Amino acid sequence: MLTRLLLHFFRIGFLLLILLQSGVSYCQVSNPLDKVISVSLTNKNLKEILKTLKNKAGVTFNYKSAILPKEELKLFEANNEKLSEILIRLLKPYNIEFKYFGGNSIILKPLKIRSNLSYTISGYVFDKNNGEKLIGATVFCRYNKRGTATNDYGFFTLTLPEDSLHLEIRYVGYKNYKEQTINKANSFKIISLEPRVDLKEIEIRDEGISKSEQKPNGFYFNLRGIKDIPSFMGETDILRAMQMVPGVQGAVESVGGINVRGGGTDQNLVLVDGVPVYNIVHVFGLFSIINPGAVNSVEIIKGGFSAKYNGRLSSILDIKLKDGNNQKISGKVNIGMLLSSATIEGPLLKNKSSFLVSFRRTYFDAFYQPIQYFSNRKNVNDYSGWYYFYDVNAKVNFKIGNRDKISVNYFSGVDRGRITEKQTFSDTVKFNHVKNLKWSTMMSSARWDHILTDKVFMVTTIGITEYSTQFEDELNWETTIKPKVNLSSLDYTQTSGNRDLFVKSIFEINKIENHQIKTGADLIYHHYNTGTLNYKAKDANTDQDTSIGDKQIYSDEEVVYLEDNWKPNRRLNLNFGLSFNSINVKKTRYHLLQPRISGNYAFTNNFYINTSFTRMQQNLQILPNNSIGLPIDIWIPVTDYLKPQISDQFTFGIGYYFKNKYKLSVEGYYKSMKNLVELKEGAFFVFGGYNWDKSFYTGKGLARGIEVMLEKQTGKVKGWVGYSLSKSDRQFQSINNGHAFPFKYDRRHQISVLLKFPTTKKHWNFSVSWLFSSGSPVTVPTSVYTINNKTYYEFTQRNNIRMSNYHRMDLAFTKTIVFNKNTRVWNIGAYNLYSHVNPLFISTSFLVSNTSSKLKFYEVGLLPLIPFISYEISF
Amino acid sequence: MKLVFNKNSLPLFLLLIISGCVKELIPETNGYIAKTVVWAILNPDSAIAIITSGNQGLEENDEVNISNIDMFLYEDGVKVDSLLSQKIINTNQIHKFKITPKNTKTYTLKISNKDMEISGATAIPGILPKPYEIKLTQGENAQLSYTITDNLLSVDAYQFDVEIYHYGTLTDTATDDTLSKSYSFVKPFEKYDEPTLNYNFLGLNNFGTSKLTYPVIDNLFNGKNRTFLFTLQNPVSTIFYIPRNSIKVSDKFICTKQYVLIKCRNISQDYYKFIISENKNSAIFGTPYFNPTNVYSNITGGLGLIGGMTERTDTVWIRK
Repeated sequence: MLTRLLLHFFRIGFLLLILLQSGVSYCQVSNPLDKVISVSLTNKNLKEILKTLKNKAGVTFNYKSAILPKEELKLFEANNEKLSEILIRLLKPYNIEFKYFGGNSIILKPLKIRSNLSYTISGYVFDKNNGEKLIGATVFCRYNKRGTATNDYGFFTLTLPEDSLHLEIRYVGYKNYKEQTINKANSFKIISLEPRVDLKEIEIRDEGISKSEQKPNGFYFNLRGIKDIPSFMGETDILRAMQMVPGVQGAVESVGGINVRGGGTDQNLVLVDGVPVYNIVHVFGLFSIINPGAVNSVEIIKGGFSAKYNGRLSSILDIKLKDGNNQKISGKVNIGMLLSSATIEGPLLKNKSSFLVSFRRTYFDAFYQPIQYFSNRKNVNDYSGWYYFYDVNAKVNFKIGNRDKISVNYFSGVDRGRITEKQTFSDTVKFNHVKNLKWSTMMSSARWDHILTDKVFMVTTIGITEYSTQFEDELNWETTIKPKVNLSSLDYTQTSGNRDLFVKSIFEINKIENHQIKTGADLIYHHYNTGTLNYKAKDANTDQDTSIGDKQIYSDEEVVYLEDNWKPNRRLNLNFGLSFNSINVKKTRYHLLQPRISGNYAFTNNFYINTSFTRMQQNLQILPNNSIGLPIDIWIPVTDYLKPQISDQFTFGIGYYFKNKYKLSVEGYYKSMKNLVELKEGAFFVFGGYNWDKSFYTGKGLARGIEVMLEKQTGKVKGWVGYSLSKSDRQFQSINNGHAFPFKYDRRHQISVLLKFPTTKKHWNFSVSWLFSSGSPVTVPTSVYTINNKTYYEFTQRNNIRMSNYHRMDLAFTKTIVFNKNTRVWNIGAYNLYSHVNPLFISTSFLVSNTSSKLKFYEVGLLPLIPFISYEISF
Repeated sequence: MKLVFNKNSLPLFLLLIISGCVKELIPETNGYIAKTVVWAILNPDSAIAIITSGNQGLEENDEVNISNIDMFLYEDGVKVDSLLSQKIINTNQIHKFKITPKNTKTYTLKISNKDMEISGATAIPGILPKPYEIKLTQGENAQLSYTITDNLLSVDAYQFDVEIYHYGTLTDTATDDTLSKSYSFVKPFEKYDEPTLNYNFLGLNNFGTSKLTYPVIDNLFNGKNRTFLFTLQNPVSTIFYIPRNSIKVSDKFICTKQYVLIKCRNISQDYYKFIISENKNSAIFGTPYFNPTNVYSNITGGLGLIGGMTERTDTVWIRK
């Protein structure tokens, strides 16, 4: 009996022991999730990460392998974190949950979405120091990998599932913004990003980190990125920066603007804060009209155009101006060898409104005139001249609440030149000949940014843009003895210009998940003066005043467009757009539907392909000529006879990132154009005269090419090497016997190299650039002949020879000093370092000797080595 | 680079920079084709003379090297004259036919040898009839209006040369001596109104010695009357001061006789096209403003022009 009792108690005790052991074990096994571990893994997939966690935490994961994605994470880290938190962070983005029922086993299974609720976060992202909007800042939620970017106005909207956590906002050069807990309701945020603490103080002050980023069919610069490129005469220039991008070429030694993918200089739509500008050059193209001190960013788009861009065939140059520092008064003054500029900005009401004024002027004329005076003093006859330009940018912004913002913008740029010749005949009669040249650009606009709802953003702009040219030739004979009598005078004045009044609205709609829809409309009223020639003659017996031309052309243009940017998954991005353009001129109306389709697919985080097809319409162009482009060129509109130009462009490209610092991209394009115009041989464009538009042939063009770019984005040495191989032709029925001929800006090869080095010296930076392109084609006669002692040239082929290859190296040293909260920058360098004078145009001479005669051609160039120095103070 | 920046070689460096701005361009390809140049303006007032030459290419040996040619002249399709075994060389050669062209006839010139054949044709305008009306106002800024009746059957153009002839006595202003009792001088026209289709701003003339106005084609007045206006310097006073040798010395001229001489030239359409194009061909080549333009030619297989014209001169007396 006792034995039975003992056995019984032994059994109970044994059972208790087991239970106790189990209990102890249970207590011990419930701890694996609380276990604190550290891991740091790169380029591992989830399975491999779980394996590491298993080994470190001593747990087993049970799951069906199909639920784990195969993609590798670049970096996964945990630093003394609980296993439970690590698992939440690791698995949540893949909608996987884990369950623990004891022991060392953790079960993984797909997360059942319990709720269909979502909420929207919207708002603005600004720079904390100066209140400037940050365009393209990344806004995303780590857990469900949903994200967006701020638009051109710094606004974003992001719709997330209710159970999302961890919002993060990033922008190059700034500290990341993180929010661990998100309000589970629609919310509006104003987020200010702070520059990174590891930036040098000079980088924080001086427009921050350089940002230059290649995109499919385009390239983006912020102001610092533009400043990295060695400049002309120490003056940062937007157009010269663009020429470093493959596919973008300066016209001829940069005179006349830029050519993009075989297009003319008039085929680039230049937008300044959304307002189109006709003329973008000073000094025949050596400087662009926009003062870099007022610029926030510049983007050039060469293909795959969004439906919101209309009116030009070849490219979009989208310039965004700064809004002005709404925190404190700041500014800068730049003193160079040829010109100086000043910019001042500041708050009108802190955080609420700001202003920015920027002014620039050359002063070469002020130095040169005394020199001319002294050199002419002892001469009977004298020749003199001057030239200057100035431009002024002014902008004010007002924030009204959180949802409205009003901006008013004004720009004016003027170029003036004069050549004077004075001759004296005997002591009684003096002859004066004065040529005046002037061209000016003016733009003024008011813009209203309005957040209609959390998912709909609207921008409405009204404005005026104007361009005019004037060339005046005055001849005057007068007596030199008293009383001075005006013996005779002649005055020719040629004027031309155009003016647009417009109103445009665009809506960004984010109501549908994964779709960003843009829609809008433009209404434009055009006024063209295709040229007026005024003549006045006066002497003792004559008083004449005549005009020729003065034909004014008016037209109204309407554009509506719709675009859907669709991201069905994380890899694929599709854009479908349609634009409808209608223009009415001289009781003739032209319509065109313009499809815009593009797609981007990322096979991995490092490799993507992109493709696009776009159709564009252009309703005006510069009067064609085969000479170098000059600012006195006349813009001519479509008429009942001249139809709008149309282009179709197809592009395909690939991009590959490697070693975490290099990016290689290859893009090809094929662009056909029709309804291009060319002056008939022997025709003379009589300024707006009778049937002036019948003086043109219409024809077609074809451009194709491939562009390669290797960019190093990080590290001590940064920069890129770009190469493009291209061909661009034109064909008109009655020119060149109807055969296709090279376009005047057809250059087969183009190479651009930009390297930026920090030196070992403190606060010194050094950059060097090298540009090469094949020679431009020109038309030269193939023979000469004489009739009645007059010599005539025979042209059998258009653009039949090539000028010499163009190549140039520029370099710049920049020293930045921060002193008493002010920044001072010395910029020293050389334009065209090895003085290779690139040809601007062809001159000719016909040499006749006793035994032979020969036609000779000479290339005439403009710019040799030009060293420069400039000094800039920022406060 | 070290040598260049050496202080002593700085002038050389500057010269290299300056001289680098202009350099010769030697084309890689040569599109030269040897062609015969023919020039003939047929005028019923004189026998037909053809000027020939050749074109020259970019290289020294790029020149016409054509064996002797035969020339045949056709009037309304009928051969009327010929010149055989004529030489064609680079410099101008004159070939004279015996035929005098007639109004309203079409003349075709054919030039050939065993290797080539070129030809050109032109129609001679009809006889210029007496103008429909000539009127001259008197006084300062006198205006001459010259009204023609255009020939409906042909497309042609008009050029004018207007001058005022003055006759009288010339005396030395200082000594009052009579220098000439039958002195004459000429003043050209001052302003010329044009239809807007043709650009003849300020009476711009062709290059060379011709004083003829820029031509006006009859597109806007074919077969109709058209009035051309000329504003003349015709002051009321009969006393002029004629500059002699230098501007300081002027002789006194007392005008006793004055008349206006108007030359009206009617040119064929081909000749008109040639004139319009020739200024653009040579005017500004070699400057940045140049636009390549071939001179008009109606010579098939060659260069140059065969054109036609008729001319008449009218006199309007101001003071007899």
